[in-house]
Parts: sequence; structure tokens; C-alpha cells
Amino acid sequence: MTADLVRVVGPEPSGLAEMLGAVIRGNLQQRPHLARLLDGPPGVVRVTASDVGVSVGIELRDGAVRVWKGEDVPADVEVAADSATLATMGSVPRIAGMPNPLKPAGREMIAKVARGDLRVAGAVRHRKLLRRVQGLLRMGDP
Amino acid sequence: MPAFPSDEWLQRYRDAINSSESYREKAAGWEGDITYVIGADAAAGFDEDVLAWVDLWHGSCRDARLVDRDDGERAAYVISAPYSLWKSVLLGQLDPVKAMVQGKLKLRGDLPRMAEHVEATRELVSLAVGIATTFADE
Repeated sequence: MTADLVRVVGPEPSGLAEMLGAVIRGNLQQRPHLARLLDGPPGVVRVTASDVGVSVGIELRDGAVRVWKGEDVPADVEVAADSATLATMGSVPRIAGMPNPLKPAGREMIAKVARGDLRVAGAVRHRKLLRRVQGLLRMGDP
Repeated sequence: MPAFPSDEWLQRYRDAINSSESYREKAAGWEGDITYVIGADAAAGFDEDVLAWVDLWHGSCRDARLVDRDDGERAAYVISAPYSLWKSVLLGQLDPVKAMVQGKLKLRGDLPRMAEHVEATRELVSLAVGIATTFADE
């Protein structure tokens, strides 16, 4: 039922949009309590795989998620990294929403931010939105 | 050298997986079989899709062989791509994660679970690349 809340839209949904949509859908099916993250003010997080030049928007609005391909959509938060980093971001151990520096994978993600390999813009102003999207894309948590 | 795709190649793949200490470590928590669908390619000599099935269980490969469509579709994960793309992956010319992001390679299955084991997945790719392979279209 909760999986119906996720729609991948657009004339030609990209692989990245399909992937992120599948992750969110899978999480909502297996962890229905995550549906609470859909409640809240609307907002858009744009995710860009910089090594292949593919961007998608993840929009939370009216208790549902829309994922679509496109660079021209206004976004509140921008996340950009290479494909491999995006693939592992969801499983990085976190503490208070941030990568955990006590864990190797957490330190590696912090180093990527420091090197500019992972860029996040708008996170301070829209931190609640970012945390909601992070929660929907989470992998490996109960 | 075994040709790709073939049962002989899959046996080499199975042996490579089972000989890898690194894979055993990274995939210790992995349960789930995978079917690789190699898209039909007349130039390579097969007019229908070829389905290669590997049964992966806690860091080892219990079985690997070509299967028919019905059996292949029952796997926990089904990964589909044209033959030419698989060839590029096996030649080390294409990163399958990039190919997925670009929509060139399609995955059906529990993606969060697979992404959780992304290092094990990378090791599987690396082991496949390490197999001396001949290709059906060469």
C-alpha cells in the first residue's frame, strides 16, 4: 500500500530515477513506519550523478513522493557525487543525521565532502527536508 | 578459454567466487540468487536472450549455470542488459553502477538490500572481469 505513494514520472524516466524510486518504494514496503517521513512541508532534493551527467528530482509533497529526471527543476537541496558514491551513501553509518566519524565508511564519506567529491548545497536551510529524504533512501537500518 | 555466455564460463565464475576470501568476507550477510539476462544478439550467434543464474549464499556460490526463462525469472534479482554491455563490463570498460544510473542496465529485485552489499557486488564484477574469456562474436 505504502509503495503506491511513490511515483517515478516523466516521459523518459532515467536509470537513476528508477533506482531511487525503487529504493524508496522498497523501504516503504519493508519499513512502513518510514511513511511518517512523507508528512511535512513540501520540498525538492535534486540528486546528480556527476560522472554521467544525470540529475533527478525527489519531491515530497502531499504525503507522497515523486521522482523525475531533469536538471531544470527548482530544488531546495542539491546533492552531487559520482555514481559509486551515490550508490553507497544510503548505507553510510550516521549519527544525528551526519556520517559517523567513528566508523570507516563514515570517515570516508566525510573525506569525500572535504575533497569536494560529494557536494551538498542547501542542507543548512532545509536540513529537515534532507533528513526526510535521507531516511527514505536509507539502507541497512532496522 | 571459456566463451561468454556458456555453462563453462559460469563454472569458472563459480570457482572464482568460491576461491575469493575477499568476496566471502564482503558477502557474509548476502542471501539471494541472481539471474543475468544477456540480451539476444544475432551477431554474437544467439537469437534469444541467454539467462545465466548464480546461486549466492553467505559468501559462496552454490551453483551457476544457464537456465531457461521460467527458472531465471524466479531469482531474487534479475539484471538485464544487451550482450554488448555485458561484454564491456567483462572487459573492464564499463562500471555496472554507472550503467544502472544511465538506465543501460536494468535491475529487478530488492534494490535497498543489494545497495547495502554494494562492496560484495563490486567484488562479483571484479571476479568476472578476472576470468580469461572469449566472446561469442569474436
